Parts: sequence; C-alpha cells; structure tokens
Amino acid sequence: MDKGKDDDPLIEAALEHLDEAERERAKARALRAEADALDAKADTEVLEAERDLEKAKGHDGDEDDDDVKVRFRHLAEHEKAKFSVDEDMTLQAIWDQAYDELEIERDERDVLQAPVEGGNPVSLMEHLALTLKQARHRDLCKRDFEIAARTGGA
Amino acid sequence: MASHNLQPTLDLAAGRLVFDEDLPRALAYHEAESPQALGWRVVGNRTLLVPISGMHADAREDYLLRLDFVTGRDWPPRAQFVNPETFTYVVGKDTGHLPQLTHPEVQVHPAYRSQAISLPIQLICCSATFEYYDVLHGGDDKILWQARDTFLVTLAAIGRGMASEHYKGRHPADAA
Repeated sequence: MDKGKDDDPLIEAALEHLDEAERERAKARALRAEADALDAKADTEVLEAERDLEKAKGHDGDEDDDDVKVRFRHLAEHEKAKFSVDEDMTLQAIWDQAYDELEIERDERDVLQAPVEGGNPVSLMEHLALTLKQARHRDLCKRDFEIAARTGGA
Repeated sequence: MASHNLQPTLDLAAGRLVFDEDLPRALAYHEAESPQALGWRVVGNRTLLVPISGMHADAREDYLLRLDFVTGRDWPPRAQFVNPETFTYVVGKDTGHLPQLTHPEVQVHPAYRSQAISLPIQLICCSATFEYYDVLHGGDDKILWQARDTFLVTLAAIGRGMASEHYKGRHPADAA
C-alpha cells in the first residue's frame, strides 16, 4: 500500500516540489551566508579604513605637536617673549626669530644660552646648527633660552 | 663708558644706587620675590653674595661669589670668590675657596699681579668684573661692559664658564 502511495503521481510531484523547495532554501542559505561573509568583510574594511584615517589624523597631530612654545629672555633688556616654533628648526633660526618676537635689535656681543634652574647657564654657541629636537635630546636645553652678553678675559 | 685703557674710579654712592635699582630688576627677571628665594644674600647696602656651583668628575663643589657695587653704571661690580665663613678672600690663605676655571670668557687667578695695582689680588678675569678693568688687562673692545648691563651679565658669564669643560674642580688649598 505504501508502494502504491509512492507511485501516486500527485504524491511524486509533491515530493519533487518539496525537494526543489529544499534546494532553493539551501541556495538561499548559501547566498545569505555569502552575503553575511561579504557584509563581514565590508565591516572589516570599514574598520581598517577608519583605523587608517585615525592613524593619518594622529600623524598630522604629531606634526602639530612638533610646534612647541619656547620662552626667550633678554638679559640686558629684561624683555621676555613666548612663541611657537617647529622642533625641526635650528637653534640659530629660533634665535633669529627671537629678536623679532622681543622687538630688540641684535647686538654683536649677544650669545645664546640655556638657563638651568638652580644651576649655571649652558652656552649654546657651539650648537647653533642643531635642531631644537636634537638639542633637547642631548639635554643641552629645554624650552627656555636667554640672550646674554659675550664677555672676555682669557 | 668702560674702556680697556682706563681704570674705574670708586663711587660708593653711585654703586649703592646701581644696586638699589638693579636688584629688584634682577629679581623680577628671575620671577623671584626675594634674594633669599634665589639663594642670594644681601650684606650691607651694596654687597650681594651669590652661591655658585660647579660639576667636575662627577663631584659637585659649592663656592660663594661676592659682588660689591662700588661704582656707577659705566663699570661692572667687583667680583670675588670668598671664604663662606668670612665673606672675604685673603691671598695666600683662601685659595681653596676658588674654582679652577680657565674659560675663554672667564679665568680665575688666585694671586694676580699687575703694574696697575700695588698688591696681588684675586682676579676673576672677565670683562664683566670691576677688577678686569682695574688691572688694565686689555682686550677686544667688542666685549666691553655697557652702561645698560646689570650684574646678571656678570653672573651669566661666570655661570657659563662654570658649566663648561673649562672648569676643573676646586683649587688646591694653600699649604699650611
């Protein structure tokens, strides 16, 4: 009797229809999985792009951080000035700029020195070709500078 | 104006005036409320004691610099390293209170002799000290003391020397 049911063309057509539906469902699941994978891949790419963007912004930020405030004081005139410079500028270039900021004319006696709190000032005259960054790394100075007068007595 | 060919003349009243004017300016420059805040000590009405240190061979030595304002603005103050107990310097007795310094800008001589002076003196040989002109040392006119200068120029010059490799530690004491 069961065999008779299987042989029923209506049943057979229904079973085929069911099989086809199952295949379509499997195909749909596969497509969905593929879509999910593409979706996940897209998410990853977006995250990576955002990270790259942050990194790029961070790099720009570092460049901004290279601009540091320096303080200059003129020993004879007792004038003071604070201004921003790029750490890659040489001490000579920063010193040159200081005269504009202080609105004081350079004197041929002038020397550049770095004050040391509670200690003796350090002459920077032999290090004017160094960048501020290099001079700071060598502990020659921080961000404070003084324009003093060259003396003599040797 | 200072000159390499002239000896400065003493003018104690003018020196006191210079000190009265320049000490507050120096404190303002250092953003200090008092001389004590910088470790300085005022003695009398024209003398300033300033501690100066030096590092040589990983050893720190402390010295005491005495500045006396004995003339007007045309000349720098007297400057001597002194015995920290007596605040004076006696040739042949206090040499151990001197730094050994032979910097291009500053040299310290325990007992300097010159035809311009009758007795040997301690000479901080630097164009920012009174004694440099008093002994008629001579030198490049580009480094002459200028009337706008204050004793901060003197301290900075000595300080640069002490911070350099030309500082060689404490001077040996005099033989007993």
